[in-house]
Order: sequence, then C-alpha cells, then structure tokens
Amino acid sequence: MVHAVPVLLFGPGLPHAGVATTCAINEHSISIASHQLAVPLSVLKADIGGFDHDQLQLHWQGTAGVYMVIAGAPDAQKQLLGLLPAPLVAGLKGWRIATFSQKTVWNSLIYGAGLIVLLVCIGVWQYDRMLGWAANRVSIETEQKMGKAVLASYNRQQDIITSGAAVDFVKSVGNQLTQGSPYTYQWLVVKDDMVNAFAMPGGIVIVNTGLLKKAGNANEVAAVLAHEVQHVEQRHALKNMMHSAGVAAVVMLVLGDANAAMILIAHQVSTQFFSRQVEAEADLKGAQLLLKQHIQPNGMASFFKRLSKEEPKTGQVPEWLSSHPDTQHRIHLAEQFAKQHPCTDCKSLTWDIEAILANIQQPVPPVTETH
Amino acid sequence: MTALNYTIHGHDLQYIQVTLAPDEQMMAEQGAMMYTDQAIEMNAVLGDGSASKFGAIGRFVNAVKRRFTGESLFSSVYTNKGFVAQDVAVAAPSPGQIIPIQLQEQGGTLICQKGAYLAGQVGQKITLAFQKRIRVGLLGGEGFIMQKISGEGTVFVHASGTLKAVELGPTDSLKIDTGCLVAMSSTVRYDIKYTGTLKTSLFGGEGLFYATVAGPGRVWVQSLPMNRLGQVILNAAVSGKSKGSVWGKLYLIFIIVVVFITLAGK
Repeated sequence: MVHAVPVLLFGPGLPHAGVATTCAINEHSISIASHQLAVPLSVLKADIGGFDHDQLQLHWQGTAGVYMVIAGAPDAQKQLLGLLPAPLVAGLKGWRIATFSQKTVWNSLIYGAGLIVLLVCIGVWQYDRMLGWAANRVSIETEQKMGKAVLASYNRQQDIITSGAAVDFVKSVGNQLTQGSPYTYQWLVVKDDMVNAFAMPGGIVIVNTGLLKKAGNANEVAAVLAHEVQHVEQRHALKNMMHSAGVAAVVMLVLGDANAAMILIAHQVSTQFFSRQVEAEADLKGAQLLLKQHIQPNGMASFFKRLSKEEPKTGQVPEWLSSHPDTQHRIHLAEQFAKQHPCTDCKSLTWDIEAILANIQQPVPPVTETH
Repeated sequence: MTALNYTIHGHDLQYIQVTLAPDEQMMAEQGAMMYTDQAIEMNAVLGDGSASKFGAIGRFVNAVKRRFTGESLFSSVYTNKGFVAQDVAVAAPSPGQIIPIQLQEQGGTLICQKGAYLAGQVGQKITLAFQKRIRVGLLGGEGFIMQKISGEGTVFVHASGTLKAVELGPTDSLKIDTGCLVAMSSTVRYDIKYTGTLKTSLFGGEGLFYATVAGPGRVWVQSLPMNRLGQVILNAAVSGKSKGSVWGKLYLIFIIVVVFITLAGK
C-alpha cells in the first residue's frame, strides 16, 4: 500500500526554506518521486524540530549530503507518524517519549498551579476553622504560662484589690459564667478609673474599677464578663498571635521589597481586621453564654448605650483602623440578638452597689514584698 | 501580493521609506511614523486588523495577546488615497538595524523576539508564540513569549545592534549567546546548552548556558541586545541604589520568631 504525504524536502542544492513535495511510504522505504529519491526506512533517523519542539524531522545521509523531510501540511505529521513503523526508524520511539513528556510537564504544571489556587481559596474560606485547629494543638498549660507572663508584664500588682464586695461580686458572676470550663479562671479587680476589662490567655480576667462605677446594673457587668470569658474560651489571644505570624509571613512574601512603613501598615491593618472579627465573635458568643446561664442578655446593649452617650463624637478613628467594631453597630447587633432570642425565664442579676462602691473607693493597702 | 517598494535609510538609527502606489496599503506599529506624504491616510486598527471567528471580542482578545508580544493594542494602517505614488517613512524605535524579510521565503511563518515587528504589509498576522520548553523559556534569554509573524509579503523587523542572517542546512547548528537571537524560520529548532565546564561558565563571562539553533532554516542574530545596551548606559548614568528597606522585614521576622518561641516554650 502506498500513501502520498505532503512534505517539505531539504537537502543539498535545494532552497533553504525547503521544497514542497509529496512522499510515498511503504513497509520498507520512503520515496520522493519528484527528486528521484528512495530510501530504506532503516537509514532514516527521527529527530525533534521546530519552535514548539513537536515537529517530526526525518533525515538521512544521501550521496550528495544530508536530506531532511518534515511534514508539509497541518495533518501531514499525523499521517507520517501513522505510516512509519516505529521499530524500524531510529529515534522515533525517543521522539514520541520526548513530545509526550513535554505535554505531561505542562499538564502537571497547570494542574499543580490550579491545585495551589484551590488550596489557597479553601484556606481563605475555611480560615477560622484552620486557625481553630492550629490553636487546639497548643495545650491549656502553655496558654496559662503565657497568661502569667502577660500578667507579670502588666505590672499593676499594687493596684489589685484582693478582697471585698466588688471582688466577691465579680468572682461570683464570673464563676457562674464559667461553669464546666476547662480553664481555671482568676478574677482580678484593678483600681483604675478607665472603663475597661480585658482577658489574658489561660483564664485571667481583669476588671477595672472604672467599669464597675460606670455600669448601671449587674447585668451590664455580667455581659462584659461574658464577652471576656469568650475571649478566653475561644482562645482569641492565641489565634491572634498565630494570625499575626501568618500575616507577617504573607506580607513578607507579597510585599517583598517594600519599605518598612508599608510593611508595618499592611501588617497592622490586616491584624486589626482580624481583631474586629474576634470582638464580634466574643460579643455573639458572650450573649449566647448569658442565655445559657439564664441571665438577661440585654446588658451589652444598655452598657454600650450608656458609654456612647458620654463618648465624644469627634476624633474617632475610622472603623477599619480600629481594633474594635463600631460601637453603634455593636449596640444594633446586641439588640437584634436580644429580640431574636426572647428569654422568659431569664433572671436579672442583683448587686449591692453601695458595698461595691465602698469597697473600690478604699485605698489599696500597700503590698508588702514577700520573698 | 505585490512586494513593497522600499528603501532603508541610515546606519545605526534607521528608518524605512516605503513608496505606496495609489490605493496600496501598509501597516506599522503604533507611534513609529516619521512622516507621510499629503495623500496618505492613517487609520488605527485593533490588533493586526485581522478578523476573528469570535467577532469583536475575539479581535480584542487577539489584540491583548498581541500586546504581550511587545506590540501595542492598536496598529496603524497607511493607505494612499491619492492618484500618484506617495511616501510613508517609519522609523526604528531604538538604535539598531531594520531588516526586510520576505515571508514566503521562510515558509510563511517567522518567529521573532518580543517587539521585533516594525512594519509590514496588510494582512500579516502577529500572534503570540509561547515557548513550551521550560528551560529554554527560563534560560534561553528570550523568555517564554515570542512573536510569530505569519502571512505573505515583506515584513520589517527591527532589533538593536547589527543584525546578521545565517543560513542553516539540515545538519547545521549555531551557538548563540542567550538574548542575541532576533528571528528564525519556524522549522529551526531553538534550544539551550550548558556551556560545558564550570570554569567556562563561571569565568567565561557568557553565563551558564548558551542558545543553540539547528537547521533547516534561517536565523537572524543581533550584536547588541537592548537590555545589554540599557545596562551599560544605566551603569554609566547612575550608581546602583537598592530600594526597599530591611527594617520592615526584620519586624515581621521578629513577630514570627516570637510566636514560635512562645508556642514552643512549654
């Protein structure tokens, strides 16, 4: 059987761009009638050619020099490959392997890149879960050690009120909120007029006396405590640290050559964003905790309202720069939560405000250094 | 297609003067025009002006792809609207040489380095030729993207330095310094090779690899690639100054290290 395949012929005395002609291939030889050439297949050598390295070049040593044949039409190469018996033509097997491996390399590159993009997407999507998983690798003891270190650097030992009605009140509310927790909590009341309360990793919660003075009722204090308890329970300090380290790594990779101020700002803004998310989570989970303990969950909203009345409107930082969500927004969310979860059997907490105020207005006894 | 009637003027800073017969057209890259006669009309076309089976969107995509080969989104078509022959002059964008290539002689397709196309006849297509061989793309000096010019007639290709055409027979091959390859016919095999010995690659000054081109076909080689010329001029003009600062990085590394120490310190 003889097939005519369009080819380009190169060789001695022929133009450098080749001559378009046809070749015929049978079981033993390849012949080009237009140039009176007939070559046994066994002297042919196959080679890779062309810009894309996917061209089949067949060359042989003729009497006048080296001749070469390449496919001369778009599907002529397929015809050539189909007609040539691979074992007879030297290098044809190698040609197939080389062109196949080139395709494989590109396919694996494309799929690999796709996989990485997919992983990054999943990572962004399931970031909270991943961070939670990583945080759970760290033991509670480690967290408590961290908390102790933070407390030591807090350096307000002389202002801590150790006993009295205020301390008892905070402790009793706190203990009610943390029933069944794996953490051992430590409730500290610090003589400071700033309206603030904060949690350290491992279960140390600090309440400023300013907050107790400002709060209108016991429910408000309970709401603040529930919020702080959730910071501990959800391991926010730990997650914050891990997030910060992760962001640092990403910023370094992405910004690379940027200047120091750029890097600092990028790091700051993205950690603040995380911090706002964490605060919102603590707000929500704190309200749920109050419900669980049958305490009226309206304390958060009323406390924030009380605060925002006195808060000067000017000089506020824009929300995206702040570590806490916008106060009005938090009030709105807290009220919405209370509306959606009406609690019929919830009790309002009571407190002996006179005794507490008397307790916190007392001068703190000087600490005697003990070694 | 009738061949263009042209003259190339100048030595190192060249321009082509093409004489267009009435109603004859030519195409040139955007911003290359030096002067035209009165009756020549200039028209901007998207990409190389060729149609696409996907309509306007396909033409736009082709133009964007063409953009990656170092050309602009649009090109200019010059038409002689007069009744007598008129001139168009197109200048090279940088010191170097303009060479006219007849596409039919190269089998209708030419592979060029990025941005090599300067002008040509209407109907020629400038498309993206992607280097599928990773090591050639990374180390060959031309990158992964080259230009594929296909069609008929004369095309003017420009590159810096002096250009040399080399004819390669089926068994011939040529070693070229990476980055010096300007154009080749589509049958030419372009590859890279390790310089051979450690001593040569370290002290030879030619880098670790050189490019090889193997026949059959024709290749054009340049004496001074633009980036090398740019480097020389830059070095003469300013002393290098590194941008960015190390403090930001140190700050981030500090944060990562602190977190690791805290979590590891049980």
